[in-house]
Amino acid sequence: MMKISLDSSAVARRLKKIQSTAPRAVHGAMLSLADEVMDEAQKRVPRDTEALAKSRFVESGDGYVLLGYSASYALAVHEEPSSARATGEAFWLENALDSIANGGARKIALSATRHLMTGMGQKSSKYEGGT
Amino acid sequence: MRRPAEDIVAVLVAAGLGVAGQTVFSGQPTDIAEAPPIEVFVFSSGGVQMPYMGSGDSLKSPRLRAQVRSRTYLAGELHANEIAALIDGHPSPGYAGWRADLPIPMPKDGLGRFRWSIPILVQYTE
Repeated sequence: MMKISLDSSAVARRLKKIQSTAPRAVHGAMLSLADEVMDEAQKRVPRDTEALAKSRFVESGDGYVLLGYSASYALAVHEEPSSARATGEAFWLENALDSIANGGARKIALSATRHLMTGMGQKSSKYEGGT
Repeated sequence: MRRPAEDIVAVLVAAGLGVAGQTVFSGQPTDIAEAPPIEVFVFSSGGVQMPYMGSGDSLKSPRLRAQVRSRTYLAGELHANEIAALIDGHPSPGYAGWRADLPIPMPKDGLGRFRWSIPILVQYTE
């Protein structure tokens, strides 16, 4: 007689490990993407003074990443379509997001998978804390 | 080739929210001699396109703005809100969908007119 025994316990252990580490891996992937978007936004932001560019931020918490500019006038400048700008461009944050995060869900999935495989992931944004 | 700004202007005109070329325009805001009390300018602000799965077409997601300019605050705010409500989810043949955010108040222009910016995202394949 010849038998093949299939044992699923190893797969179950692996799945359990993924279940516990996946949220951290996805969060790290989101932080990585947010930093890329902010890098691009900083190339496009109007710099009449440096105050607007310096007001950039990336914040993260349980299950979310938030990025933007904290200057009180940031939204008004963002929405101003005037082509007579000395530097930067209108809608710079939105354009940076479109430029970098096109296919963002796929990028996050690939990055999270890489983090899961290596056990290493981004833990914070380089822009967190206003730096 | 689709022209989203022109299509949005046509919808606004059909809904009685302006007259094309007189109070509703396709293009960035300009100063018009003897400007009417309320004007609307619809123009492109960016967007992306990517390959559309399973076909040779591209999925295009242009972003637009509708900027409302008004001599009075209340009339302008009401007009901006009406436009956003009309565009958001508007069933438009040939498009996968239209989305509009709430109007964003902007600083007054050089002539003291109140302004609002309405972000719009449309999607279609071509």
